[in-house]
Amino acid sequence: MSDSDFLHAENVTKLYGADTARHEALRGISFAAERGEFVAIRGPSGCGKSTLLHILGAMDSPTDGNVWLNGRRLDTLGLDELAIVRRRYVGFIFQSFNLLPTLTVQENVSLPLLLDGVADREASERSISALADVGLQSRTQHLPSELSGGEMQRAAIARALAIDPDLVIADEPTGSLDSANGLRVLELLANLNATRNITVVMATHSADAAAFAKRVLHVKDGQIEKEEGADVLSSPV
Amino acid sequence: MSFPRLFNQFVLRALLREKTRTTIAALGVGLGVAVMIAIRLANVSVTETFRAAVDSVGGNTSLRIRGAAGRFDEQLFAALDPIRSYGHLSPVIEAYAMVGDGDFRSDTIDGFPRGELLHVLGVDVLLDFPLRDYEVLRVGATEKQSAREALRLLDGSRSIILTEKFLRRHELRVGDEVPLTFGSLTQAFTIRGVLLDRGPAQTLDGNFALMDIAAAQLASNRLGFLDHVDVLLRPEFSTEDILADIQLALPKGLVAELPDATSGRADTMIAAFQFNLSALSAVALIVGLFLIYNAVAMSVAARRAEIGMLQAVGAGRRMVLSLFLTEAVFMAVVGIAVGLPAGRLLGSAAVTATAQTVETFYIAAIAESSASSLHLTLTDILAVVCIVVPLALMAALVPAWEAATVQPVDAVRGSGKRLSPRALARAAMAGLLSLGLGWLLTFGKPIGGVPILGFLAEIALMLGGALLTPLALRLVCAGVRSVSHHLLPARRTEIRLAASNMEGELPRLSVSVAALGISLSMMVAIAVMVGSFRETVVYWLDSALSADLSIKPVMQTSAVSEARLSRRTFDVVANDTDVVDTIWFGARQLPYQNRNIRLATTELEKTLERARLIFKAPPIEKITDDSVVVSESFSLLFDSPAGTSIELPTSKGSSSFQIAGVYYDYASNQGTILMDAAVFRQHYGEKDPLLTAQTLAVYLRPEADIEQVRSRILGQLGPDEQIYCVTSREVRAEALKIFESTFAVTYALQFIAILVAGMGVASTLITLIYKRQKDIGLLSLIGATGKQVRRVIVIEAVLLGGVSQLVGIFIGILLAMVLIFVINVQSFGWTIQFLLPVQFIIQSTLLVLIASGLFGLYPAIRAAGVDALQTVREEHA
Ligand SMILES: Nc1ncnc2c1ncn2[C@@H]1O[C@H](COP(=O)(O)OP(=O)(O)OP(=O)(O)O)[C@@H](O)[C@H]1O
Ligand SMILES: [Mg+2]
Repeated sequence: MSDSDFLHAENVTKLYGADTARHEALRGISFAAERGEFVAIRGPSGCGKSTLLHILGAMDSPTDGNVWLNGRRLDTLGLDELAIVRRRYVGFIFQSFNLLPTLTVQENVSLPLLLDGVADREASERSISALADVGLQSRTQHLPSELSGGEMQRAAIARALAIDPDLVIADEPTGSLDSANGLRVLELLANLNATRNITVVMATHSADAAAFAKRVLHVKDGQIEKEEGADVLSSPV
Repeated sequence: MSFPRLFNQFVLRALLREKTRTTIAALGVGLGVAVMIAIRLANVSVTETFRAAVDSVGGNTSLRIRGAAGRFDEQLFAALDPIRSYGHLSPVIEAYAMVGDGDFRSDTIDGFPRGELLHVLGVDVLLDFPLRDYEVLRVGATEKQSAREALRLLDGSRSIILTEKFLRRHELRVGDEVPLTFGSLTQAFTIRGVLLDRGPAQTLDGNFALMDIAAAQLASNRLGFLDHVDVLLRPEFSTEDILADIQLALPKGLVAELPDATSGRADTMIAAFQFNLSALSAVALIVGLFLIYNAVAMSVAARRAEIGMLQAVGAGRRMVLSLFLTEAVFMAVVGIAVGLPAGRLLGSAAVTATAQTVETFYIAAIAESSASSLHLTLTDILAVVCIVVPLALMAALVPAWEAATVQPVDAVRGSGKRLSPRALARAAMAGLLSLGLGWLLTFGKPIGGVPILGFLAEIALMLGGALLTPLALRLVCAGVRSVSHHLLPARRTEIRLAASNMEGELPRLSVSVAALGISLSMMVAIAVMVGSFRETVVYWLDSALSADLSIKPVMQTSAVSEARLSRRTFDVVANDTDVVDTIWFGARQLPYQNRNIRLATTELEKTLERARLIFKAPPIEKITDDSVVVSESFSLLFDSPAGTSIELPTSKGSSSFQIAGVYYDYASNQGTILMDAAVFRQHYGEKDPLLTAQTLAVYLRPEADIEQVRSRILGQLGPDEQIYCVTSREVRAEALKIFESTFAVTYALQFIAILVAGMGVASTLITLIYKRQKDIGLLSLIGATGKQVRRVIVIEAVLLGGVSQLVGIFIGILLAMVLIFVINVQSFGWTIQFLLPVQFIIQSTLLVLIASGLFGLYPAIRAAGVDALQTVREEHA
């Protein structure tokens, strides 16, 4: 297994609906990322960015095509097996609504660990250290409703970090934040990508956000339109 | 858009689309309506059948003359001559017989005699025809028979006229013989005519017989006595005006009253029966209200998204609210339509089931004939509509209002706000105050003989329990969370999730849990009460049953019928070589104040010596000519403690008696006066009191073989003497058997309560799952497997059921204490030892937990089926 096989999608299609309501969201996309890469996916609304992320992040299965994550084939897994892959190997951050409202921040962060059967003490140590990494050490016992939007996104990053993931999926993580908070979230992502060798795949509308990535995929109508390497990119602001 | 159009698009279509949810909601409302209506119908119908039975026998009677002390000497009839100027008189014997062919002779006993009960009216046909509406069919002819012809039919002491219904049911014809048992003697009677189904013939669904008065006196062992004389006033007199005049003209020892008075007094007889039903009905009402509330709240809560959308497209708040309130009314109407017929069926079942538990044969007969004639009246339907529709509106208003007035900030920040400690503390304080108020109310005296303050105390206790529910929920959730790793280490995460989910919904859940807790508390209360009563009676039986054998007629004595032992029975028993002593007891109904009480006669000296009565108040010192002993219920009902004196009606007017002692008696709640035979003879003029004896306690030589004595006595008596001859162990077993069947009601109650708890838990969770779809989706995105999601919901279900049961046990025990120490004492006059049925509580708790878990499976499966990605997508749309 070569490094380029770390995250690998081959000829993936995704169909929604049936008959007249039928819609082809992904049309034979092939994609590969090496361990430790930071890839951004851009494209107009409705082009299939989220759909692709969901499939790469073991949240959904493709209609056709194959997907591998770190040597594991994902497209043939059942729902519960996918859930186990997610809680062990994939961290994710959405635009909003990342946290369970009835749990404290720390409980939210340790939840994937606990669901996976990690001992209480270890889960709590790992979640506290992850929260410290994102600068939320003073907010561990708060409820999500007591946090700001930026803090919530950082808590989501901490949750992704706590499981020591292979892959972090981020779908417009800065979409509902102001530019200062957005920048902070992006810096965190870039930082853990760099220091921990975690692969990050991020969908975004914003060119500024995409600038944090080493590689940018442009998607249009469910197909990859073009790809830009890190060297072509302007340096981050 | 117009309202009807919106209603069609957003309400009707949605209801059709979501068939499962709509069905569950409508069934919830329907079941609620059904339990409410069932018990109401049952209660009303039993009372009505009873009234009808009394009324139809009463006929056109405008006045009834009876002995102040009940039955009176027929010689007095001649003294009624002055009354004849006011109207027409007819002397009557009213008796009950059991229909059967001698098969129930038994050396082993079998709870109740299960033959059929026949209401027998003995009259002088010529005198009585004007009073009652008889139609006797002439054999082989169609026209009505005259009184004179009917009289001819009834000549001879074994002639009887039965109703067409009865004959058809038993496939009997005129000329056939039918065996009837009055008291202990079975005799064959010849059917001489048929009564058409009208007037008195309608009594007890046709179980009515007409006899000549002399024959009835003979058969029922009342030679020389009359039960009452019915009067039909001439048209120019009005009953009210003339009552006082007639009273003055009556000889001493007789009184005149309106025919209704009889049924009024007799009403107390069905009180015990109705008490059972009323207990059920209170549970049913609360449970029904809860089911309806939950069903509607669930349905509206499920549609919050749609409510939001409607507002987004510009429907005003008022429009949205009225749409969903209309939906609630719509569902309520569907539920009522389903529930009414179901309630009717359930009602018959309830009456039949409760009828098994009453000790008197007569009430059972009434209940059975009423079960077949339950009907819904317009009032019932209106009452249901008036309760259900506003309730449905209320249930819909809260979630609809919540949805229609969502604050943007709440939508963004999510619902994760915990109930503030202050709100919790305030609710708990109010709860404690309410419990305190309940406690104070238990000190109140009954108002008009009814323990109204006691019932208010029960309500205050329930309210207190409801107000303490949020705190209980909070504490249990916190407790479970903190000890989860000890409880079930492998499931600790699911347990914690369940507990914090519940804490996040504390206000909504508190309502459900309080309602469930209260319906469970009634189950607990009734179980505690019945259990305590049972133990008390067992204790009493063990010490009070001293005789070796006890003999009584197979047609047992009850509040309406007196069954006597024959002279022959006494002779046979007394002459047996192994018998060293006998004590006889007789009892008759005596009108006293507004009720009928039992006047029991015995050889008091011997009774006190032999039968170990347990005395509550000063055991007797000396029996004088005017002293009596009374039962605890008499003492409490009429506020007559030992040492006071009472004024009793006697055949000579009335006399004063001294209460020499108060003893415990759980055999009857009517109130009993125990009087020495000699005193009785002196005041009530029975020539031979022995003839009124209904039970004979037999004491044997210590070395005698009870079985041998019993078969010797039965053998000598022959097949025509229908008696029970039972050992004290068998009496005890019989009494306990009656209790077991009373327990059947408790089991029914337990079953209903647990079923409802399960359904309540399920519907509460379904509502919550609709509300929490996003959280559940996120949970599964984080990596919870379907199994884990299901487990979380099932644990929530078990926790909900568990806290409800906890509240139920706490409140139930308090309710039971009030029932036992206040309400029972005030309305029945019984002191019961309080006893906790630990086994029942453990067993019902396990059942509630299991039922909750099982009923939690459905919402759990639904939760696991939530499309996680869809919820994420909707969030970002
Ligand atoms: N569950 C679904 N059922 C039907 N169609 C869907 C579903 N989910 C997505 N689609 C369609 O698939 C297409 C791709 O959707 P996707 O969410 O991947 O777009 P996107 O690139 O993430 O858009 P945006 O930038 O607006 O988030 C869209 O046209 C969308 O309408
Ligand atoms: Mg998207």
